Amino acid sequence: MKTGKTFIIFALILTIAICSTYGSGNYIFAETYAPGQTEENGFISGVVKENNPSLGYITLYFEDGSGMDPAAANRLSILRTFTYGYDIPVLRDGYETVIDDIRPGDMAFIKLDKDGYIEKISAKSYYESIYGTAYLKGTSWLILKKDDGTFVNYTLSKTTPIYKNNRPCTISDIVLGDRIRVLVQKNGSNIHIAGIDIEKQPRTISGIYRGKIEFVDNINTSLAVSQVQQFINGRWEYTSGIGIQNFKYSSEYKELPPRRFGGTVYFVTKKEYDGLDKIIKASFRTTSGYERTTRDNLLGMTDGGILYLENTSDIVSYDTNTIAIKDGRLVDISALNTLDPLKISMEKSLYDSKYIANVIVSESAAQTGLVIYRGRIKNVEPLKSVTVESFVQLDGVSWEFTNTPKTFDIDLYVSRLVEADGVGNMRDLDSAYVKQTVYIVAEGNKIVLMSTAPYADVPVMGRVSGITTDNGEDDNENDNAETTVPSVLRLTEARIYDNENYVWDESPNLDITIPFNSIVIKNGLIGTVSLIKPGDEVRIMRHSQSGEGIIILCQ
Amino acid sequence: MKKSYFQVLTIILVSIIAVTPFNILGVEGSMGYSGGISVADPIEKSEYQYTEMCFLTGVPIKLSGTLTIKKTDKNDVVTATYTYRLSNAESNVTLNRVAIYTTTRETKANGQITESTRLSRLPTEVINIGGTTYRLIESSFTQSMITDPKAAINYHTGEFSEKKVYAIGTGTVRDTVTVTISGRTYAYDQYWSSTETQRINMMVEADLKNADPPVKWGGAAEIIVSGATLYQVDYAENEPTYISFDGGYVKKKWMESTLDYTARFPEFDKNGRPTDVLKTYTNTESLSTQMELSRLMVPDIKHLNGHWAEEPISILFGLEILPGTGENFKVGKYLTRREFVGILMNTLKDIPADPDVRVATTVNTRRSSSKNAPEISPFKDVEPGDLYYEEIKKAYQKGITLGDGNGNFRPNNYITRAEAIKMIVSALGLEKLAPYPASTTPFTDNDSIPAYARNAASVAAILGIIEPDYMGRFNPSMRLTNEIMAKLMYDLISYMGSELVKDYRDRIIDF
Repeated sequence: MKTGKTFIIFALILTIAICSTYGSGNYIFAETYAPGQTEENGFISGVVKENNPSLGYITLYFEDGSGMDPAAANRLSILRTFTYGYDIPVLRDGYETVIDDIRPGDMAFIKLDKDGYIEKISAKSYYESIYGTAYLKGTSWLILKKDDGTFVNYTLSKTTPIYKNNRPCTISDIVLGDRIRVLVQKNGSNIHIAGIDIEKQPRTISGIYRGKIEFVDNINTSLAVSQVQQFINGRWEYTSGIGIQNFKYSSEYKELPPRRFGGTVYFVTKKEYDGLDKIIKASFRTTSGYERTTRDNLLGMTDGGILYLENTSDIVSYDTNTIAIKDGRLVDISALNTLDPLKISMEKSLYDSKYIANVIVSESAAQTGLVIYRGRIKNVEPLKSVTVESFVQLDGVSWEFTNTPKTFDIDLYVSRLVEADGVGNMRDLDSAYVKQTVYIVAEGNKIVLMSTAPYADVPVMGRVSGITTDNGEDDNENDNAETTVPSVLRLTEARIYDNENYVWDESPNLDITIPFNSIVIKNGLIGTVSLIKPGDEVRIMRHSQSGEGIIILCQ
Repeated sequence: MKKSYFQVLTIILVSIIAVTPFNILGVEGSMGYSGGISVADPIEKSEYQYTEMCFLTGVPIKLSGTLTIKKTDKNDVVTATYTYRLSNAESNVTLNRVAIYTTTRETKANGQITESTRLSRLPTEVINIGGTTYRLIESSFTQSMITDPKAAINYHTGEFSEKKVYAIGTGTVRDTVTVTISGRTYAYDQYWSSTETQRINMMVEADLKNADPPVKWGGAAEIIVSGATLYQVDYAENEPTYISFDGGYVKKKWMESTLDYTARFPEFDKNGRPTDVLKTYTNTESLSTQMELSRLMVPDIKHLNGHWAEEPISILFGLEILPGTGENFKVGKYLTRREFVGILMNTLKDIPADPDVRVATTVNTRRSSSKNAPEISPFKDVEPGDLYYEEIKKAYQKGITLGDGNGNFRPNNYITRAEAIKMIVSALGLEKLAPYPASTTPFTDNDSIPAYARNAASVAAILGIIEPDYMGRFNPSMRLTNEIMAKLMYDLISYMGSELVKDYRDRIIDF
């Protein structure tokens, strides 16, 4: 009996020992050791030439990186092709992934099993960052103008990740002229794009200027120009600088200015990394004659350099010196599309019938969902909502009345309150505000801005020629300190709407005081007077008694 | 007698400690660690013109003034004193700050240098903003840095973290503002340009116990600061006809620094209380120095007028990278390995020293026995008396060339493109940009490139230092002619001068 027990225990131990030895593979490994062997066999490394998941094989170049010669193909398939027949652990750049993600150009490490199949694989990618600006794009392709001036065309798939500010976006978010980074891994004819990054804050152009050339300072790489004018909103405007002004060239500016030149220079500036506005493109023109600016819509353009415009019969041409700007970015003229609204500065010689475009600017209309209401507050639910008894809604130059209450939601992170003496606090908005009449600028039902400014019912239109604060100082765009001192807009070509006779009366020069709690909307954004720049065309709703501008819409 | 001898020795020793410069970092650290930018003052030594943004009130305020840096190095322990004197007259703000840091440096087995920096004591800092005093009452700082010294470039990267607590006013119940800073530093030092860029995240938290009612608010800023020393060579044409030479080149050197910030802070109401709406502030500030101009020698290469490599050759002679004055320069002449290494080392030049450091060294008073020891060449076939001996020795010491593996350099052999590219990429220390050591290259003659140079060829193609021929070939065995060498060196200088700056500054700001 005792012997039987001992035998069973012995048999059990033996079985466990054999099973564990085979199961762990120790026994098999022991068999593969060759006399004098000091390293484990079955490890392969190299650069991936081809990975074919559907047929289950991967081919590596030779250890020394050779194998690109067509004559080596046969040897490669015999010596450096390895198969995988079942699910294997795969790592790429330290992350677990699937075998399909191993790309040509990867550096791969492979461990083979006893039968010579791939047991596990890990790889490191070698993506190269290609930098440039978006030159042209389609729904599935992008032409990049690289920093060295050459062009490269990338085919994009729906799965190509595109990011801006680390947030996923689509190819439609790439604006021509944007700076782009493409992560590319190339090997032979294989190109894999891991991702595209759009610059986080597009550095748009800071100005389009023209002036008479005084001299070129080759030592400081700058251009001295007199009679400087800036192209704002389709017109050449005088700048605040008087006399000769100096503009430095950007490091982006590659073309050398002509050795001898005089006449007029048209140029575009952009804020550089050192914070200074520098010339990124200049066009030197010697013709003089008729010159004019126009606004029109583009119908098409020919390769021969002719623009077809919707509302003019003039022949307008373009050349390599024509400066094209689209949505604030310097672009190639081919980036302009049919029906793009254009602002053009063009000239022709006295005896020529054809204009040549010096500057073409196209700006897409800003989409805004903002609606301006005015009503008397009926009820305030602190931190939640405001209800008005009835309200008027701004529609063009008139207010549309609706005799029903309306409730607007408060979003503390968005909703702002501005009062005559400064910024209010939405946390303080309570029943004390009931019966007050306020403006509410809303996006849907959400309050974006609530203002206590007085009723405005006199529409005014005009073009801004200057902005000063009431104490006579020029408005400083970089001044972070907000001031409650009213500003004054100087308007030229102003017109005031006569509400009684329904006509616009001319008022060539008009100063309008803008109080702190005015509502300023430009390019779909609510801001302060600092948003308004000379040259802007504005529509203002004015208070009839004080004449103060309460609602200012920049067109 | 013996006593006076020691006194004299001590004086000599102290003098040497005081004046000996030490070749370490050229740029890193010159902007401080408070999110500011600096450029060297043209007159005052160790003084920088400095600008930083102050966010303590929740509204960005630009502060400008001076930063003085004094560093002493004793046995790889650097003590650095940063003294800031800043103000903004318009906003009625003044700032005085003195911070002393101790950095311990350690050289690792592979030559990399690690640094660890701590505060020596609580910094003194007082900021007066419109009559309100912010006094630093608590501070902690830690920084780590690694330097990888390659033959031509020192690469640095590191991170730092800082916490500062300021007391507002002098009340018994203290209002405080806490500033937490975390930042990463990327920098490199080399002769043709140096750049340091810091990407900083700053958190500002105010705890206003004396407000009615007490309130807490917070805001954040992302700040990218970058400082660079840059070189540029421009052609200057002559106007007079009757002049003994055609135009010439001017070398320009300057420093520029950029501060780019995006800050989000609560909007404050008319009573100075924070609202829930976050206001975004974005701006760029900059500092730069006046250009230093220096004329390059105009070589006598009239026999190359109009040659496609005339400009690179002229500049290389002007920069005294090519020996001689040019009249005997033959564009088609093959270069020997000896000549190429000499020219390459002249191109790379030495990495500039940190101008703020004074190093304390001990002097060996015994006459060194090694002075009389015969010079031992690293290669059997290069004699110490060789014209390019020093350059070849330096190239060997820096790992640019190891010879043929048998102790020979083969100085009189003509250098091939493969050998030249291998040396250039080794000097830059960038071979890891391609799979090492088994890279493939984009060239059609990949398989004929020697294995030792394949990786370097791949990297050189990525960097844009070499271009394929019209058939896409690298031509590894082709001997290097003077014209090709001139273009190579010119492209190398362009890469080191402008492309690296883009990578370390422009692209970090853009993306």
